[in-house]
Amino acid sequence: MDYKQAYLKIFEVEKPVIRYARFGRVLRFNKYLFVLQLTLLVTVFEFLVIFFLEDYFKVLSDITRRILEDSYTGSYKFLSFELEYSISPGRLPTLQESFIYFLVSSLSLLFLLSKFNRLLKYISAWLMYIAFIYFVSSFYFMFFSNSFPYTERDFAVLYVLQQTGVFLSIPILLAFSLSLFTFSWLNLLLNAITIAFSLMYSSVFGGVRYIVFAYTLKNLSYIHMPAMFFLFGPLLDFIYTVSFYSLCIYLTIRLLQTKWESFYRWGF
Amino acid sequence: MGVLIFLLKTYMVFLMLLLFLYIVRHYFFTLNRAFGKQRLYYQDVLDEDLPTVSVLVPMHNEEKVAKHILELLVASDYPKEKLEIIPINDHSTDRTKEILEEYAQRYPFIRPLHRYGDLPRGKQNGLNDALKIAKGEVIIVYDADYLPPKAQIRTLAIAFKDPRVGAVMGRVVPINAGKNLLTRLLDIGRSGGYQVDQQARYNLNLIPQYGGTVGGFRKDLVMKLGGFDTRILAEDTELTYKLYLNGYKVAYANIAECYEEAPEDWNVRARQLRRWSRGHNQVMFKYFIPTTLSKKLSFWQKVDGLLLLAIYMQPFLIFLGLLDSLLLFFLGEMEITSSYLFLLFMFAHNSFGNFAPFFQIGIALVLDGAKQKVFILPLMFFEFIFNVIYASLGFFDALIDLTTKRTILWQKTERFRNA
Repeated sequence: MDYKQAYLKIFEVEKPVIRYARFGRVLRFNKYLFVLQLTLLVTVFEFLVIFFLEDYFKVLSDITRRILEDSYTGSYKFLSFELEYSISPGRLPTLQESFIYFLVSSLSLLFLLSKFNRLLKYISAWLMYIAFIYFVSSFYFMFFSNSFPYTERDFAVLYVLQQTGVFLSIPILLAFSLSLFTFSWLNLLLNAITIAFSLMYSSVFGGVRYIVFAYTLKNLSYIHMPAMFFLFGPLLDFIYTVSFYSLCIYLTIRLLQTKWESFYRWGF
Repeated sequence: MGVLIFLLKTYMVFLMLLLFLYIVRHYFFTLNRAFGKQRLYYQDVLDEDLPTVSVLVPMHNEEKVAKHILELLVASDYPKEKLEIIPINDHSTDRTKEILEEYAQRYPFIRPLHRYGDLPRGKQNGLNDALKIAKGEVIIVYDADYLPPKAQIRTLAIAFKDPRVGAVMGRVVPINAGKNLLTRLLDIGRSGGYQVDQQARYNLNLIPQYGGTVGGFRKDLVMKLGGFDTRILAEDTELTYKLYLNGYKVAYANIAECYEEAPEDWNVRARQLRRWSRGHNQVMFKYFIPTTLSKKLSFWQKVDGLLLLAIYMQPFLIFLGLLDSLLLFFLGEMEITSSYLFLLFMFAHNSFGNFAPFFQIGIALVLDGAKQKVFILPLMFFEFIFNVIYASLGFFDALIDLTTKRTILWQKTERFRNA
């Protein structure tokens, strides 16, 4: 009996209210704020991207021209925009180079698939993917080098298209996922800042990446071109985009959670 | 060459559309779970007339964990006169048999089933044998590494007061989440899968999945439906479809949380994922047409059921998509993959959330109140190619099973807990 009384006392002291248990709670939701955020974030940032698109590639082209001295300038007409780029002449790999890459990638694949491989599986998986891309690329250049369908100019155009796609995707991706948080009007501000930072990061990262790629094509060879799209392309863009999303959620909870249960309500 | 390019491009478009469909599905689930009306489970049903329950615990060399689960099952508040516990000792060569016998002597409601000799090994075989001797109206199943709370058997069993419920499923939570990167990634994946996916499907009267552990089913019904197919590794998924195709449903108990031990080693995880993929794809081959043609399922249940069936085929389709993109690249058709479609393709790779996109897991973590864990989301990147490889291998295994009718061998998941 004493135990029961003591238990009840604890219950009264420590459980003055029944908190929203995680199995049945939902998030507080303001549908007007949701629609407003979604509409505003997508339209404003898409407009900004489109507005600055030509200028961005112009600046990138200027910087590339200064770094790569023998580069030439061209432009690609995308819808009604003239997207400028600068690129240096690249070169095809020699048979010897292709063979070395083929040998290294084949041996790497064999090692990664063998029982001697002691690397962690997820690292092995990525290394296998990298080795496979180089295996295919080097094999192609060993036998069909002269049929390679791209020049450095094509690469530049493809990159411009890809980067444009990244810029246009980020606001949509983040707006749809972050607009779900409608705890306060501050969410709109926080989400807008997150998208703005993601785009800024993307513009710097995308620019640096382009220059590195252009430098690689000039000084090394086209053998690296598949890796540029399939390894270091949009896949990397999604890492920082999801990172910004994570940071935004964390800040949302930290800044807006004035008391423990302010986000939740019962879902029944 | 023109035909080949057309086919390759068509596949890319098909893949993008399919993956986009998955993204829409998961976004809808996320909205529903985050803000929608949640469907009540049966936990508030008060009834003294509880069904008799047999708890089955399949075990193969489980000396590290056997005592833990048995102690917790003994401590259950379920009326002991209505409870029996049947640990299924499946060809163990360690001390599992001795541990079970020791508990059987101390507690009369623990009745181990020892399987040795010519009896075929495997969870589904063990379950079929145990069903023959189980006395309970309701069967509750736990894997040996699980740690069920005191009131959980009652919570799960009460759902069977509803005659339409054929099976029930609880929520799985890794106990060793903080151990390393892998367990952390699995933890957030589970969070997205149970807190959002399962609950949303239950809310929307779609197809919540019976997961083979922390769950249960009606014994007579399952016996009537022929027990478990011994050639299928995912006996849980198979049961889900069997039940729905026969007019029953699966209830999801988000309240019934049970700790499990997530794999701590990538090799173990690789084998587990490959086995799950193989089993799930076996079910897909068997139930794709019956699900499509079923008269017992609503239109949306069919859509959800088919998408759920194809979920472990998704990594294989992505793998083909990667090969397809590479071919298109070398054929000079990079434009289709370089601009928006390629981005969509990459986005549809679920942004590294291999079976649940990042926004679904993000919402699940906020609902769980686990704010620190959101920083792990970008690290799902590490799992991406890993999952594509091992789930694809599982798909190939299932394909070979289908064509060759070879013998299916069960591979147990290794335990990491100290005994």
